[in-house]
Amino acid sequence: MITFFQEREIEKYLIEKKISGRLLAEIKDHIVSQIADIQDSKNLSFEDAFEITKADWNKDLTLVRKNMFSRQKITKIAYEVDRATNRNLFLKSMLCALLFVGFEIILTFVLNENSYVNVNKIIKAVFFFLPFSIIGMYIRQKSLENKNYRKNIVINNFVHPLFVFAFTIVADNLVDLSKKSYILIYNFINFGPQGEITTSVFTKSLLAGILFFTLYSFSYFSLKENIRRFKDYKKNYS
Amino acid sequence: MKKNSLYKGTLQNIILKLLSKEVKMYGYQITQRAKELTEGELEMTEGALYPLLHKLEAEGMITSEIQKINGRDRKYYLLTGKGKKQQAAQEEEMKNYLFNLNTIFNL
Repeated sequence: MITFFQEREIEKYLIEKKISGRLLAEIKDHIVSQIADIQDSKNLSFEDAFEITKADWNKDLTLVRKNMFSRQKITKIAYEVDRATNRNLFLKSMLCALLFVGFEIILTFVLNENSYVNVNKIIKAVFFFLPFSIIGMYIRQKSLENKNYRKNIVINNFVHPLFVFAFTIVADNLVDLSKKSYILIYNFINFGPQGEITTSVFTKSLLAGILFFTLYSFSYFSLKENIRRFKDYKKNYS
Repeated sequence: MKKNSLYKGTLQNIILKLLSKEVKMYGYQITQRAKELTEGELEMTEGALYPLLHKLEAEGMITSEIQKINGRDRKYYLLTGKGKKQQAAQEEEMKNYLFNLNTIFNL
């Protein structure tokens, strides 16, 4: 049976290893169960069983850089959990981008030019509010982060969502493509290559659309996921 | 995996199968159950288990609930409806795969 003070010792060890609040309770419970089992099966003291467990976890609790741009270090296990979550978010963003481009292509077939342009004006108006929504979500995340400061919750975004968002805005404006690339897509699909609308320009517009939509969605979903983590933490541990 | 890297690609199937047989399980229990069923042959590393559990949770295959056990929080994982369907499909696929491997290696 692990005593209260021994549990505190385990928790202190994990906090020193910079384990975030989300993983802290889970890994602490794992280590407590593991130590109790080792003590029972090998008839060892808490200290000896704890040393064996530390050796077992050594590789997963090694500190690694959070990402290539950051100096902040996190444990390898937190890094792996974060990488898996980020890969999912990225795939989800890419799927949204492909669906959006697919929807745009379907529209070019079913709508006349005027209606197509009008629908795209509405889409553009919705996109106009995206930066405000992103900033609003970031403020919300920061406020939750400050409220939960003492609970040691670390948001382990592989790349910061605001960095992704800012990078995408800059790249979107620097890229040498018409700001009305949806019209290029419409004309190319309906009338084929002509004048300035070559197959290369059409492909570039399509790929740029997929890439930028993916990155915008990724920053949005990352912030949404961070807020969800804080809310989950509040729901589960308060 | 500590002992056999061949298990590596099947870890997700193993976790989903174990969860389908129990109402709910926590991380350490999953590692111990796998070890017990394989008579010590399969030792899941925590570094492989937890990222996968969190990935499955993010994908909606499993869900989690926190319970207080001996005064501390324990996170239990449960299969969702989507996870149950996925588990059944993967089990079928895995059985076919094992049947084919068996046929080849019994030549």
